[in-house]
Amino acid sequence: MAFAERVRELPHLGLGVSTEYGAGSTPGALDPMELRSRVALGFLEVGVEAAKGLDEDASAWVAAGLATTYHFLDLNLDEPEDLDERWLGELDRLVATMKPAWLCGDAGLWHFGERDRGHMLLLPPVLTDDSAKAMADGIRALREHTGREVIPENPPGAFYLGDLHLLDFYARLADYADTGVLLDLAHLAIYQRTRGHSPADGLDGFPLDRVVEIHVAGGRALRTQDGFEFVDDDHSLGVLDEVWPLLDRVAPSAPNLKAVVLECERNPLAAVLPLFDRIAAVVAR
Amino acid sequence: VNRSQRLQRLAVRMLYDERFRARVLDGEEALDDSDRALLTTVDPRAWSTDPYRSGRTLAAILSELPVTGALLGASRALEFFHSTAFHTAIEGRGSLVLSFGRWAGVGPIGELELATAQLRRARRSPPPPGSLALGERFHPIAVPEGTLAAYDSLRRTLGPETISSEPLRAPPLGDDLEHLLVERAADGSIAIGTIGESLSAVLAPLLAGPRTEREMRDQLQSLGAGDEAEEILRGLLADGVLLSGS
Repeated sequence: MAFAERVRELPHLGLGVSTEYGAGSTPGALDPMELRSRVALGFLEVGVEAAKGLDEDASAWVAAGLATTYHFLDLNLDEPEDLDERWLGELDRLVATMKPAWLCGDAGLWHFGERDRGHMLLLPPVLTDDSAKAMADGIRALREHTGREVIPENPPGAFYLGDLHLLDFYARLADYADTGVLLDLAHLAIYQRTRGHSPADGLDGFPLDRVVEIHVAGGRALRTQDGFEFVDDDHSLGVLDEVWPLLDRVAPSAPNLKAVVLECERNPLAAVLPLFDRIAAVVAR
Repeated sequence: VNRSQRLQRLAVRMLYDERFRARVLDGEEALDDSDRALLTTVDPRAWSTDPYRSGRTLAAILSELPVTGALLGASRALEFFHSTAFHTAIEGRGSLVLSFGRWAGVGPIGELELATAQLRRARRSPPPPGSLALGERFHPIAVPEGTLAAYDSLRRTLGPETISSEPLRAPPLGDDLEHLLVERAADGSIAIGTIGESLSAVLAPLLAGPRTEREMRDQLQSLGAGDEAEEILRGLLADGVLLSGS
């Protein structure tokens, strides 16, 4: 079945919040269950390394029978050896427990070498056609293994290698893998700033019918001692100015949009409520 | 390795090693011209937005090899990221922990600690029929007498610290050998015990790969086990120290 048909079977999850393993133990961090009592929250996006399993917050959410998506943090989609028996076994256990609506995650370099101590980092993919094809193979393999949609996300970066525009790369990736896309608008804004493009550069030719999920998050604009300006994607409350117009433009024009996540897991409840209200107003249009 | 993987590995090496990065950008490293062209389009300042990257990674490595790090000292340990060992590990998908442990060269105490790291990663396939292999939870090692005591003492001295600016000094070790068996428990914890020289002689060759049951039995008999060779083998199999291919 082609993506255009498969996407109709995906549930509409609406507004969601992300969590990462152990995020709830940060003093003052968000409690997803408490947030749910204040916001029309449709799901929890659980970001976790497969070997760690679910933490207390995620377990409580799953135990209550509430909807989830699974966000991988340890998979290089373009390396076939990354889909090893051990990782797939851990993933299968998580999926059996969570029953996520779909799998998603940054399509980039999560670790160098094997998954091992000290090997974690996150780099964007090399923006070339070959790289898109290699990642598409990984998406197809994982979709086949799990029987669930695998939605690639555009990662953040301080630099990008490759001759394709990031949006062109993800359009090709979606086409080669016949899949949807998770468009992280904060990461997109970071890319556009880094490459000196206008915030919406490249959106005109992007197939918005592939967008299944959107992420909104805050980031901190920083400067190195030698004057290089970059954004730390720290999921703080300072949403970059250009993210809101991007949300205004993309959300209403994405016919298969099923979910919008605010990534704010380490912030207090009262501080995140206005951001949820603002996103909900856009998504409701 | 496809082109994007090759570029990603180069990028990782450039992020960690500013001397390598400078050589790449100055054209002093032998690279494919198109790869170099992509790498040089990046603002050179963008490679150093995270000044703590090497320190964080070193801390992760030393959480497993704390004594090795302490014997090196901080500044020498950070030199790892400029070493051939580091670059080879990145290019070959190797383990940074194991690579660091081998590169450190701090003597028998480091070798013992490296054995614990190797054991955590050991994934041994079942041996062929008629052969015996070392169980993946066990690693024999022979080191100078006093190594285990020195290792334990240094760990206690370190406490929660994983590194100090000045290297710790290793105590003198004996001339004779002590034979140790490093064991990984089901919960992942590591224990180190002393074993006899004969058992060490039987188990150590298995680190290189399986041996036939006949070879093992003959060796035990040559070491004086006599008629008990069979029983010893059965005991080692029952304890999981040996795996049978049958």
